Amino acid sequence: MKKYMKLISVAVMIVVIYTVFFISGKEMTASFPQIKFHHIEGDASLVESLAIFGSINTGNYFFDETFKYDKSGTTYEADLPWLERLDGFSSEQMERLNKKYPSFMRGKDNYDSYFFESDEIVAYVGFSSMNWEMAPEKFEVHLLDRASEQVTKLTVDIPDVLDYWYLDIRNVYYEDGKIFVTTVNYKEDAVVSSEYGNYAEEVVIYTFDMENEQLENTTSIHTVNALEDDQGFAYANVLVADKDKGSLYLVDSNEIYSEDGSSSMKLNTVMHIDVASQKKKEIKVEKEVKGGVPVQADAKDLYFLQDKDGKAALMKYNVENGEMISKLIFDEGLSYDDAQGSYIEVINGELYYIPTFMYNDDTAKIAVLDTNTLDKKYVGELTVENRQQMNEFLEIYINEAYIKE
Amino acid sequence: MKSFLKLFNFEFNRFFKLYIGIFVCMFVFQIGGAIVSSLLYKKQINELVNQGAGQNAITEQMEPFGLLDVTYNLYFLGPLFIGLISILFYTFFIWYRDWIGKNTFVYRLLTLPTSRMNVFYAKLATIFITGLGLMAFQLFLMAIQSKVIAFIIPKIYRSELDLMSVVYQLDITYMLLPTDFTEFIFYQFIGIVVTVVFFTSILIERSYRIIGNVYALLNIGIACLIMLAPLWSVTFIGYNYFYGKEVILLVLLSSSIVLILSLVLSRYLINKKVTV
Repeated sequence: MKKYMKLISVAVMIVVIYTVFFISGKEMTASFPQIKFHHIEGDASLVESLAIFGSINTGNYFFDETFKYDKSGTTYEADLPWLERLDGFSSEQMERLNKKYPSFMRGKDNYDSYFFESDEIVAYVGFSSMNWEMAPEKFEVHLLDRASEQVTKLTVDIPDVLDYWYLDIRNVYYEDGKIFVTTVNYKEDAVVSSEYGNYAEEVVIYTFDMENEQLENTTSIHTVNALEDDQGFAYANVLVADKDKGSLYLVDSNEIYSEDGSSSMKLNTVMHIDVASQKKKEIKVEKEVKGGVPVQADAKDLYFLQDKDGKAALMKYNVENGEMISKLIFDEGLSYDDAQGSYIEVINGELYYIPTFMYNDDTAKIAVLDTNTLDKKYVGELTVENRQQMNEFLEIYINEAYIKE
Repeated sequence: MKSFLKLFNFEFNRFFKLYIGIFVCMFVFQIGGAIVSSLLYKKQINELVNQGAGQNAITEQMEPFGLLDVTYNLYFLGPLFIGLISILFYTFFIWYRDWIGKNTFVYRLLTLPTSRMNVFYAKLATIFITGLGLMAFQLFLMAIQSKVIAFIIPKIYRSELDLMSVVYQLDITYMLLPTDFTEFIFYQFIGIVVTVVFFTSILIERSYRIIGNVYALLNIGIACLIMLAPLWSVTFIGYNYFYGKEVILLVLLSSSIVLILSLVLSRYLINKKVTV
């Protein structure tokens, strides 16, 4: 036994140290920032099923951690077992589809906008490429019949793909055996030559006939021309109406640079698009709407973020009767600069405002607004529960929010 | 089993002095480095205090100091890499040392009244346990560094990220010390397979001498191709065709195939082909 002492000592050291290591590993994320919604006023049940995804940075180059917050608390990717962590966090829709139809979901890009679901079918449109740069060359169109679990697959060359630098799928819709895909295609502008990548943005609807397994139609809806590099940026905003993916709003807007370094929004064209018929109808908007950033659409309403003397306001514009309602998001005044880029979305008939960035010890308010009156139904605050125990500088980024069913 | 244990103990003792030397080197540089870094940081704080800066002003100006700051430095990584490279080097030297010299020791090993594969397994077990021990010792040192920092730096200027969080956040420590037990077992298995492939290549070289070098390199190449087949196959079937768990299972399967083939080949070489 004596001659084995060195070996036994090392073996004991290994067992003891690793045992302590793995046991204490279970509490690892307890020292990470713990996010919480702090209720200020209104109906807290509106955020009970709200889940947010984001990431936290402590200012140290090496700390950057992805989290999910819902009613069960803050979950970091580090909390997940290793085999689950390999696939990372995904939206509830993707989690549900991956669990229910793993074979159908195999090889698919997990972006919500690439999918359409109904009681009968699940439709997916993505890209495939045979080149090493992974630029899209073909559409991959898949249709799953839920009842029979039969899958119809179609691979189609993207028409005129060489004209485009990049394609972005904004909406997938299915009706009567056809899949309609709305994309924003980026191409070199015919007039403007840009050093900084200002592209013209063409909104296109591709119609795939799944019964005859072919690309039936390509409809160019609208082209937003690029601006000169020193003038600003041009955007083709495609807003999908909540719960009706067959109804889109296209907002052609420009961000114009001023000489003093500030910028302002200029709205050029607003149109409603019926996806199935590709009929577009231009909507005349009042002058007051024109300075807003389009953020959301509902069945008959468009929502814009506006700058009211430096404060952030939301405007609701009814496209049928031109009725406008404009209110500050928060009474005590959220600055317009801070509100830009925030997550503003109609989810299940409620309008949610969620900041996408929280900086160190600043507070970040969230709100749920009535979609008709823009009155506040809930106001809360994003807090870090264990902030006092942390000396680190904190930056919290929120990427996505959804209501868990 | 008894023969294997005796051989294992023997091989381990042969490496023990160098092994302890690596531990001492790691201890001196890493703990010393943590002390020096902490004192330098504290000196900066004291300078600001002497200039009349208040606590809030100092915390705004200076990032909190903690274990994460200490671990990405040469005095931490240097000794760690020296240890890892030493064990990697010994993976080859553990065989070749037996062939060095006038009275080749390997003759005695191969003529022991026991299965020759016990020699193989004893060397494999030595590499495995020394690697594990090195990483366990590194963890122990990081725990001491954490205490050293807590002793020198006042709480208000200190990062409260604990040892586990730091191990998880740094790519280099996470690769060597995964915080999930399943992942840890997976990496240890891969490490064993890689070591067996190296050992098989050494036996090929010792069996066929000059041309054996070519065969040995071929063996490593083929083993890599098979082990990594689930990863490079995505070039043909699509980059996200397999779910994460499936990739791991496929890598486990391909690695197991490589392990079995390498052990069978090693057994054949050590029994029939290796020359003294």
